Amino acid sequence: MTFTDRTILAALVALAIPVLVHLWGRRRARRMVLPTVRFAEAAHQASRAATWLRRAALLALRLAAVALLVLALAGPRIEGDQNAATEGATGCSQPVPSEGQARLDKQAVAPRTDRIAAPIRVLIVDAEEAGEGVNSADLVAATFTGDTNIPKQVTRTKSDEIEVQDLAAANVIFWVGARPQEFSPLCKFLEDYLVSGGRAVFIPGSAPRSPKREIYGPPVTMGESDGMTIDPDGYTSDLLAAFEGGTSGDLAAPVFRRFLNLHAKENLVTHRVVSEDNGVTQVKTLRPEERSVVQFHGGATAIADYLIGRGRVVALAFGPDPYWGDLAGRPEFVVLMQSLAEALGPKLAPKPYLAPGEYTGGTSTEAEISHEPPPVYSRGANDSRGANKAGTDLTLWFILALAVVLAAESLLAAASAPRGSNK
Amino acid sequence: MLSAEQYLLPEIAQQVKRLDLRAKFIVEGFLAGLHDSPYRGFSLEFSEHRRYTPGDDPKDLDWTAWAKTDRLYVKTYQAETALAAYLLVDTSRSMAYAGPGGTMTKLQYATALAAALGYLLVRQHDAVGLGLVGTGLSRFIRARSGRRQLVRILVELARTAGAGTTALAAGLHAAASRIKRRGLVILLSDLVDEPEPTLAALRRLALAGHDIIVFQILDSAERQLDVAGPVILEDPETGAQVATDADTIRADYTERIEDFVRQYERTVRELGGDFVAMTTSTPFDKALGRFLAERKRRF
Repeated sequence: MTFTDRTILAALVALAIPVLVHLWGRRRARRMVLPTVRFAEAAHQASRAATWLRRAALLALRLAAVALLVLALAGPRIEGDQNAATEGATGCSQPVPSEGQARLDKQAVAPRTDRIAAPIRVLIVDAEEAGEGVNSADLVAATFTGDTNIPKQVTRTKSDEIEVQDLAAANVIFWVGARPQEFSPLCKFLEDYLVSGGRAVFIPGSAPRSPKREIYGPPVTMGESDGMTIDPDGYTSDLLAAFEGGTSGDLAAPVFRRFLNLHAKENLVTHRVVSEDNGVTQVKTLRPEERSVVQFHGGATAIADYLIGRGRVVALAFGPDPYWGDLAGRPEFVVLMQSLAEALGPKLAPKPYLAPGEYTGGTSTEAEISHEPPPVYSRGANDSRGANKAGTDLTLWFILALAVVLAAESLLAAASAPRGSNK
Repeated sequence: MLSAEQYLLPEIAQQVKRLDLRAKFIVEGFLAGLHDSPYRGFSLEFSEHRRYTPGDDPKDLDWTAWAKTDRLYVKTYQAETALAAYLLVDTSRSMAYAGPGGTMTKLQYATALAAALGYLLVRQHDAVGLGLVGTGLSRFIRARSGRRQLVRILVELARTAGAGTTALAAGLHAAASRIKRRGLVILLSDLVDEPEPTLAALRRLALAGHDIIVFQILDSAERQLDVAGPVILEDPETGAQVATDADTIRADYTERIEDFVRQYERTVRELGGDFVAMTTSTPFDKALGRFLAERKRRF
């Protein structure tokens, strides 16, 4: 269960209020002289347990009321998306990809809509038209950019929003922009997704800048000479050529690797990288299976290809456009996705019961890769969590529970209220 | 202007500071309400006829005698003086209790009632005595008739203040040994003591030939535990405390109180006496009426 606004949970300190009231009530008992106190003492002895139970029940109900109120205000949800995605990636269940569907994260596109003046679906159509001749029927790509806070992503309900189950179902995840926070749930999801056979392309949010530019050297020319201006034809052809060529070298900027937290230390190899332009020496730890597919002029890796578990990752050391936020909304992005998806190959069927974090390094060979067809997934048929795929808002349930608790508290108070007394 | 009957209400009678006046107002209020009651003529017995003389009250004329003899006679009455009544008032500390919002302590109520009874008895030419029995027999005035006796009793009652631990049985035993002449014993107490010794003392009085009337005077707060929520109850005599929740124990408490009252009532009636359970908000005429009923039954 997650919460839309976790900051409200800080109000749980209000749980101290019923406790203080309880303790204060005990302390502020009225003193009353009563000549017939021996009858009261006898009655008290007979009802001591009932008194204790009543006080405890009142305290528990009041605590529950405060907790339910705070939790309801915090927007509780059951993350059906995350469960489905994780299970799909780890082999517990496998969502069926939506064929021929390219999903664009609205966050990446929305800032540019003022210039493009078109909603997202129009952008997708434009993108597909721009990628004329490209068979997009077998393409499932998802981008996930901007804020990587999973709850915020998942709890959005707008139809064009990227959802986690879409990520789990994607053939290739194009990760554009901000990195997932280390140890975050999303980072864990990506780890599971890749280890179990997923494909991903990591694209940084911006072009190399100083001092990185000094380290990397000037970017490779693709079309225009300066910067990473995208020329769809040249870009894809060069990229494909790079894949086909399979150049080797160091990965100068393992942008995402360290954030995925996947490496066993014994599998790391130290490489010494010397930039000839400025003589700066960089020491990097690389995995042996990493390979550089596109290099900068100085020899630094521009695009790296490496394996993570049974999955495969292409990581770009640069942002293809300074206005990276525009990338996912531009027509050539579909072409890029198509090219990279084809280069990366199909997503592998996940090994059943592969636990997250099971992978500790090493290279997966083709012989080790299982090509068994993924289990058939039918939403709602054999998965009781189908109803939760979009996530379930529990606020109403919490409010109902709060009402029940308040009613019980009132009944308890009424049952023990003084009869015939106006004191 | 308050009517006479209003002084039968404790909260009204309490406004009269002097006990003798309070007793007088209570009795007059009570008698004013008796015009249509079966108690009319309760105190006087027909004695003889005598010739009418100017100044006699015409209502005393015996018209039947006039019809027979053609002379005017008036009926004369002889006061019943055979009765000796003792007012035994509990003056223990528990009697000095008034509940939340109460206008009178139990002792104030008991002394007002005792004074009214004394006033009524003297008015009927009965002999009346007094015993303060809360903590043993602290004061005893032998029964006599007359207004001077009433003054003595009222003065003694006006001096009383609730003090000491209840030792009601000892006081009753002591009074029983001091009362030689058979008569009417009226006990005014909350009876908050161990029942068995007290009932044994009452049994002794009954066996000595006395008629017994017990007025048990409790505060409403005692009868109903008129307090809510967490409470620390303290015994005014022993200082013993009980921390409890009044709401939780109320039902059991009132049940125990009722059992306690019923135990006294049953035993006193078995002894041939009368038992009247009252609270400090009960109008005085209830007690006075019960007293007169008992007196009438006796004679």
